Amino acid sequence: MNAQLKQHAGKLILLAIIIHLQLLLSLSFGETKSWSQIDWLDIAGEGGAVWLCLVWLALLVSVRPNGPVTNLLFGGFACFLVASGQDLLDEVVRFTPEMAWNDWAESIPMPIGMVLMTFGMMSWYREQQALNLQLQKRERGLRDHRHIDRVTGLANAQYLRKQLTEEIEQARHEQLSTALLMVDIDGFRQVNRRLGVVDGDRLLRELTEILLLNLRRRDLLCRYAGDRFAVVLPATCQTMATLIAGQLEGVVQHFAFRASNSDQAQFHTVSIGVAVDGFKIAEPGQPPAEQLLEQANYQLAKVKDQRVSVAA
Amino acid sequence: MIPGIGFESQHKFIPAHQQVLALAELAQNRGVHPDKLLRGTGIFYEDICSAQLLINPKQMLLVYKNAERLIEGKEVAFLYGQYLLPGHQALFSSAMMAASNTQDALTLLENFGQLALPLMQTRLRYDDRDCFVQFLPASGDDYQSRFLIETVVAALISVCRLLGGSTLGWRFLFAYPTPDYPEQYQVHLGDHITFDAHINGVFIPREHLSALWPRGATANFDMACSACQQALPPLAQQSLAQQVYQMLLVQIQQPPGLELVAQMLELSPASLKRKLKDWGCSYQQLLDAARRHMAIYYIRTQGMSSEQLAFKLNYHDKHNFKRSFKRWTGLTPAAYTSLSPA
Repeated sequence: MNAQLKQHAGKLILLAIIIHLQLLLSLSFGETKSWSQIDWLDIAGEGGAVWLCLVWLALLVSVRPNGPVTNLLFGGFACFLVASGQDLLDEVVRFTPEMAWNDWAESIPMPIGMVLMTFGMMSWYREQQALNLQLQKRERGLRDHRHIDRVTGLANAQYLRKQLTEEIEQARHEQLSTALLMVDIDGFRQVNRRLGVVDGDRLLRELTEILLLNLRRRDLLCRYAGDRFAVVLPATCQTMATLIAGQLEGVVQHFAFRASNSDQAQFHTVSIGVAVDGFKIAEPGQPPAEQLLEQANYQLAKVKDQRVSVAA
Repeated sequence: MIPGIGFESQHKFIPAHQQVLALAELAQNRGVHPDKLLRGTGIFYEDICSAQLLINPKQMLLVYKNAERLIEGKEVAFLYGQYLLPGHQALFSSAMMAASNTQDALTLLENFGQLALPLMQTRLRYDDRDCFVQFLPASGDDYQSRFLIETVVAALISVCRLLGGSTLGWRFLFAYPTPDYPEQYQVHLGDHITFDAHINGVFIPREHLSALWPRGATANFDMACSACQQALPPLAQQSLAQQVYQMLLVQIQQPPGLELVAQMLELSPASLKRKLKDWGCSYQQLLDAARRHMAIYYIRTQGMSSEQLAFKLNYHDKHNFKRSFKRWTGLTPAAYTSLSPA
């Protein structure tokens, strides 16, 4: 939180100085009203506007990283704050008609703020488009922050179930087959034990990037649970799915992971279970997404079993 | 702690650094400050680091509750479990590391488990096919202890794999209904998992028990075990709730009444009631649990009928037994059998 505020320190200090100047000027040149002259309804209304501007500013600086979009939005909100603040001061301080700057302070920042906001929103739109491109393989069409896994930034199993259900339904309608891969890291428990959870988490994150790079644009990567990832491959047949699974196994095998306390590269392998939604699994009663998940997990267990017996 | 009576929820005997430190580290790594994890317990993180602090079960359970609530992602119990065995208690872990097969590890856990897993009692039962490892939480409540159960099963499976055992044919039973993250159970424990089983435990095929582990050393194991024996006062290794449960279980045909149990523990019935209430349970609940566990065990291992079970548990007739079973599980014995095959 502190680091988050620190990157906006310049803007915040500038805003504080402006607000203080505004207060000082108004109070020293204006004439304070007596209690009976104050209209409390106006105070409540205009005070509310000031309060909301402050809330917007707080939200903005607490979530946005520094950058042009943030600066524009911040400038816009700050102008709103100055304008509505002057409006509020008007209620408790009387200004003589010669002091025209009071009117200026009320009316000039507002349109400037509007213009800044408009530019801000436009560049936000462009920024979001760029981000969407990056996020494409992590989320397909639906954004729901409750389903994001904190460690890898991928969607979790609940999201996977949702997407898989929709995907299969649509694919069956169009007579396409949907494939699902279950990717499990071999011996991940030992990694956690040997290197600790911090490095274990880092391995998961780095593998996430590797897997994402090697998927097609329409595929979806999720973190199923623990060290198991799930990949939804829309409109993909068994042959293609097996091919992709082989490619993923290959790239992971060649990925040199370095623990935080050593320069020595460590190599890991993954086992992958492949399942395709087709005519083979069509048990009535159970939802097709669950059947496909079950099938992929079963195939994965089979692959793991074979590895164990080969090693032994 | 009064010798002869199981520990209460206020007794301070759990070494905080052995149990809480790993969880605090995990929490921190997941973006939760240790102070938040310890909120409401009156414990300070600095005191834990001093490795001297003893805490009571109530504080421990509150830490678990905080962890469950604050740390995102439902895998934290499973990750934390991996730290708990062989554990940080020197005698216990050296015995565990010298175990030469799964059987050794389980026996160690049954007898001295409190040294590494203070809030869970392990009980072994054998039939022709399997060994059933039953887990009973210190509170005596199977249904409200999900986090604790998750940590313990994760600990057991992780230590067996670490030491070279196979866990492929293990079949897990959980008392509570399916949580909204069944995939965590599947990935961390394996594919044979039954929820709504009204008992917590795992069936381990007998042929797995004696398969030799590469690092086993029988002499070292025996030595470390007898050292554990001396480290642990024999009667203080279970909670009062677990102790009463055990007293009822061994005489399940003619279970002693509340007054008699109190007398055997040299307590007044009122203070026994109060002490049990402190654990959140009652004499009747423990008696129900003992009978329920018995019935379920025999249904699953021997496929006993209601008549046989009514006889075994000393009910007047099978209708009375069926009514009780329905009260415990919400199902008739027949429905229970058909819903979840052993």
